[in-house]
Amino acid sequence: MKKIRPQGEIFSMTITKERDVFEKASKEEIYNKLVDIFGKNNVTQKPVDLYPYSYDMTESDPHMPDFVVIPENVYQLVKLVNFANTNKVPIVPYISGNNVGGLTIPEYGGIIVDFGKKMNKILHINENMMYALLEPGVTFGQLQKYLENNYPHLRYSYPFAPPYAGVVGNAILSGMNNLSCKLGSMGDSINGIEVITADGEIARIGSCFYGEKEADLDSWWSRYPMPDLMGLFINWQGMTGLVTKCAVQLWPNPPITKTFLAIVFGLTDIAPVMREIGRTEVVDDISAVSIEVIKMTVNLPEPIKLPGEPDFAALFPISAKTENLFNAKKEILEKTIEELRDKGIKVLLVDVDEFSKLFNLRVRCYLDLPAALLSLVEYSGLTWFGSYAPTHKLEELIPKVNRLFLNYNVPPFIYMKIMKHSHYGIFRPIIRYKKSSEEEKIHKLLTEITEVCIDGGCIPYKAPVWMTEKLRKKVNPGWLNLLEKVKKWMDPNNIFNPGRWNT
Amino acid sequence: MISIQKGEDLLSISLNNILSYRKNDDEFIELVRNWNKKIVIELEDFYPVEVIFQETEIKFKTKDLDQKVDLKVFMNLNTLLNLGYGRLNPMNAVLTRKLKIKGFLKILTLMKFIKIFLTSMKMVAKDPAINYYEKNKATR
Repeated sequence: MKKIRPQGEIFSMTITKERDVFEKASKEEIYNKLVDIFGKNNVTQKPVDLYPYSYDMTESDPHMPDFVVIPENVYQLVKLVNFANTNKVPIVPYISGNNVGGLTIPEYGGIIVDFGKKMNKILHINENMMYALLEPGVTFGQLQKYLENNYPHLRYSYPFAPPYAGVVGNAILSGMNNLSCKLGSMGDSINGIEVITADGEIARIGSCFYGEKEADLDSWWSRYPMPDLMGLFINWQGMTGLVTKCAVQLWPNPPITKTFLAIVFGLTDIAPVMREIGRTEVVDDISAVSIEVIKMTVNLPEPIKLPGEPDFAALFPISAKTENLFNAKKEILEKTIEELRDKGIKVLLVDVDEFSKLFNLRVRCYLDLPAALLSLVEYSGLTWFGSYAPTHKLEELIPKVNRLFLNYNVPPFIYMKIMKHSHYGIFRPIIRYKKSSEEEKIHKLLTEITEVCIDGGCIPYKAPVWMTEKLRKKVNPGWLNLLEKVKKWMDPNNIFNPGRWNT
Repeated sequence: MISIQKGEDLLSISLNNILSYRKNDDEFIELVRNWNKKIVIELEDFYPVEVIFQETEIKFKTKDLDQKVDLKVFMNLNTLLNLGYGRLNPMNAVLTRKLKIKGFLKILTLMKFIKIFLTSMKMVAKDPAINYYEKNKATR
């Protein structure tokens, strides 16, 4: 269904699909129950309130929820889950609205649980075992400020995302941050979670599992060695339960940090540069972007790479407790770059603080994370094929995807990372676009990129449903059957974010 | 007032950034106005950029460069940073061949170029402010 916006743009109207949300309880009954649980001021069914929850920046089809609730505590949520499970009403978790891939678009309507408004407390910091216990609504900016003000000797890891993006969502969806070359996926840095399962039971997973009722705040220090039930919730996109607490690891905040910039000439030579630097174990993170992205950052919205310009820029932050350690790490980095140059790779290494002053300070947005990157949010639409990638395939993937961008007359925006000292990588072609006029073209481009990348062995994360539909045709049937069986067992009435992974 | 072309390539973007730092500064305006010279700057591994000073304008060119220019300078990125951050003085850079100059005998042109470009670069480098939006509040 198409409708004309007042400004003249055409958009898909956000309506509720006909899963019979009201099969067992009428809309009025559900509303009254929600008011009973959360209070009148924390429940809405007005279209004007529901609308912002119906879409995200990506090409994912919009869809209206029937209700939005703002919880304050886990006991309200237990009541909600019991009610929703009895009456087969979908529940979709939501944090700050900074979503992609339709992750929080209520595919079948139902109830949006907005954690961002009130369940956003930093419950505890354990300095000794270095972790933070968080409610789901805590944002990166909030955690960063809290640590800076109260625990400056500790740090968390921050993504290329705005300060208002949620920490817990990023962790349980295996996001990647600016310590990822050391740590790998943020999912690996979770010590424990509290989750409400479909039968309304509160389960605590990790070392916090001791005790019948509330867990000791100092007991969230490890996820091992008991059977690792965390896997029932990590990367499930909210399909198996409602996560209500999460303990994430923190790390010492070393006094010396400096970021180096590698400028790489040659489309595929960025791959060995990233891999080799990753293996040195001296950098905290490796993030590389197409040179066009750097130009976007300095306010050239539709840039093209000109002859003679480099192809990629990569950032290598180094941190150290002492000058000697810093210098040793720097020496290893410089030596590795020299060795790469000796092999014929044209790569330059500079201090990014010095370079950015002379080039343009706007590029510092990539250093001071978390940050709202203007090059990402310039247009009304933003989408990507974000994937975990086999790093030996990068030389094959980069030119293929670059060519697709150029075929569609879209400036190439390839973002890559090396994770856990080169054990694996991230390959993420990103597309900014005007939703009103370019959606069809961009979806076509993204589909082609998806096919190339999946054929190349990439595995998408935060994948939209049209992408998981493609994946389902490619993955091992045994894996898929197991996924279906686990989902069915965990959520027999399919109330938790139904539709994700085409369930 | 001096008008400085907005660059479309990486080096012109950088040159715009450096030269714009002083575009409202009287001494800079005096140096640049009606200078009417063409200088080629080439960074190793990158590509040459022609900087055209013409009346009250500064423009950049990366293709179809003029055959006849007033000065050509050649260095690598590290030398540029070392000059900008005062770790290397231009005379030493020339003597050690880190900075190569064609048109060296046009001493007045060279001196003026140093006053325009190197001084601007040093001023940008020395500025402690690193937040673009704090420095350019109007762009918020």
